[in-house]
Amino acid sequence: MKKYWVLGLALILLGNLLVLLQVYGNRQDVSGKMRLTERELTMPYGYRRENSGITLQLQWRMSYLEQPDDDDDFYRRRAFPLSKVQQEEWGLASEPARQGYRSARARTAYVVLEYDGEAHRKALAIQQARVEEWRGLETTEQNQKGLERRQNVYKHVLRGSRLYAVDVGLDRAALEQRYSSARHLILPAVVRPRYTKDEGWRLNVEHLQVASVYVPRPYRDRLAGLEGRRRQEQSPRFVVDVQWGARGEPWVAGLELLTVSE
Amino acid sequence: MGSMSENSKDSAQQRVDQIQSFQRELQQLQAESVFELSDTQREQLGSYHQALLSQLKQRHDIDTSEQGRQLSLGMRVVSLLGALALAASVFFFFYQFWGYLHTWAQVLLLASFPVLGLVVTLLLASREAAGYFSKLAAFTCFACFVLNISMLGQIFNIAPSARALLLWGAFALLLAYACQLQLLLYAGLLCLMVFVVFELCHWRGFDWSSAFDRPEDLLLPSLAIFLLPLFWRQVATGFAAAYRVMGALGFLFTLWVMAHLGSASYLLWDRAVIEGIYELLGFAFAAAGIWLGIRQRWSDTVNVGSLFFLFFLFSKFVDWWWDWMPKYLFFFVLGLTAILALLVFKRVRRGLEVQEALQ
Repeated sequence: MKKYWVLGLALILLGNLLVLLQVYGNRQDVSGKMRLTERELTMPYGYRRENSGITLQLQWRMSYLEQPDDDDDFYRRRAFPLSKVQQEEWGLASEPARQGYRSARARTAYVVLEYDGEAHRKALAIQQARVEEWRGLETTEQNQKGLERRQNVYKHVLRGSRLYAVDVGLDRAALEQRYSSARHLILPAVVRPRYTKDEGWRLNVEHLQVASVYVPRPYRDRLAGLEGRRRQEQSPRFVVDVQWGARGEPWVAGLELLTVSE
Repeated sequence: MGSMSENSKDSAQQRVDQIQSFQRELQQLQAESVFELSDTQREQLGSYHQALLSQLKQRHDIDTSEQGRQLSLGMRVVSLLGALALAASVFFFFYQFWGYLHTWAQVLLLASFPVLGLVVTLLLASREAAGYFSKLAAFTCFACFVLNISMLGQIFNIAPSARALLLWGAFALLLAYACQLQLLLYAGLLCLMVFVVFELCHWRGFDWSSAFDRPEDLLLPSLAIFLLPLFWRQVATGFAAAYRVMGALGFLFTLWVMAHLGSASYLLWDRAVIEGIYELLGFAFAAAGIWLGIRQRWSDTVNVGSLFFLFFLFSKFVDWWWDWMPKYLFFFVLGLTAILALLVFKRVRRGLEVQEALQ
């Protein structure tokens, strides 16, 4: 029985130590920091009777890298197009183009998120132009419904997250050289190449490796009075200083409640 | 009194069952006037068995009656349900209060749960002959360790990693061997098999979330687990069978998946060819499992092999007939196939009995 004591305690201590060492290593080097509001960091859904912890979800969108089609769905995650050079960089040129849902395996790469920059302004301009386009159409019931949909999307862009994915790559250093402004964040993400006959190879950003951030005490106490997610027409209720470490894992460095509209 | 082989509860229970079968057979022989013991012999045998039974019952808390056996089975079920309920309680307890604690308190509490669980489990295992409470404690301890690592990941926003599975798998195996608990052994083996597949994917430069895009990665780990008892003798009852069942399930399930999903293969051939090859391999390995199980008297391997042989057969029937055959006829053919399988097994069993009688 003695060996089970020793091995069991060793495993528990080892597990905890490894995790804490990883956290320490991550926080030694701040690779990015940003001040984000409730537009980009949303509260969990629903009433939190059984869960006293608060974890905020990072919201981001894909930027418009090409001119969108008329029937473009803003909410659908578009994929990054790939040039021939980029295809070779990803090792895709020689891969047979298998049709179907999973043509290639997901990899960890780095995605560049731009905050309140050109990508957000472009998205706003495109959606505004769409609204104007539909306003100019003949007044029928169908056109009225179409106009309402377009107006909802425009409001969503106007009041929603201002974080847009503008680039993706395997080489973090190269991306850091190209996107060195404080407006850009480079975060690890899971990316899957996919191939179709019409579009060739494209990259789907499936999800960020860490897309949520736990709010520790004492910051959690400031959010305790807020119930559920903010409605679209509401102004953001708080602003958070988030820092990202060497491994792209975030933590909350500051949090303030907002008392006036942004 | 009693031999060294009755040192474990399972071997003690086997000896008790053996004694009771012997007593019942002796009574039957006496009733049919085939065999008669003298009074002295009967008295000697009776007092020997009585003393042995009471000694084994005292040392290992085993069942000496059919009612006792039924009750033990019920107690095992209750122990499992109790463990699941306690594990859920630990999770929800932590979720209820963690938000009110500072980070250092959360870390301390999370680490102390499995340590406390380990202390209670090993104390109970060393003092309790029957093992019901120690098994319940072992499950709860395992749940606490899973909670420990996963909640640390949430608190510090750590990117999900397959390496947690290695820790959990190792801990589950440790508790399984300490308490001779088969269910934790299954859990531990599952964690380790999945970890190996995730790590293979990671070494190849892919994200672990796409590990099962290539199910063939599960073949070698499953085979290794199946063969492990040949090199590492398992003393606890049921442990060798657990390795064989996990290994056979993993291996045959992968073959079955590949027989329907050729596009997920590493092979760059035509999809229909890949699926055909895996179908043939599936039938062959399932049949080989049945043959090996009969030869080695591994009923677990025979059962898994038979199950997958039928899966492959029924999948083939669906491919051939589902689209055009009326459903009543399709299921009638399935039923006839099951009857044919029973007749074949009956014939094989008769052949084995004849062989045993000749030996």
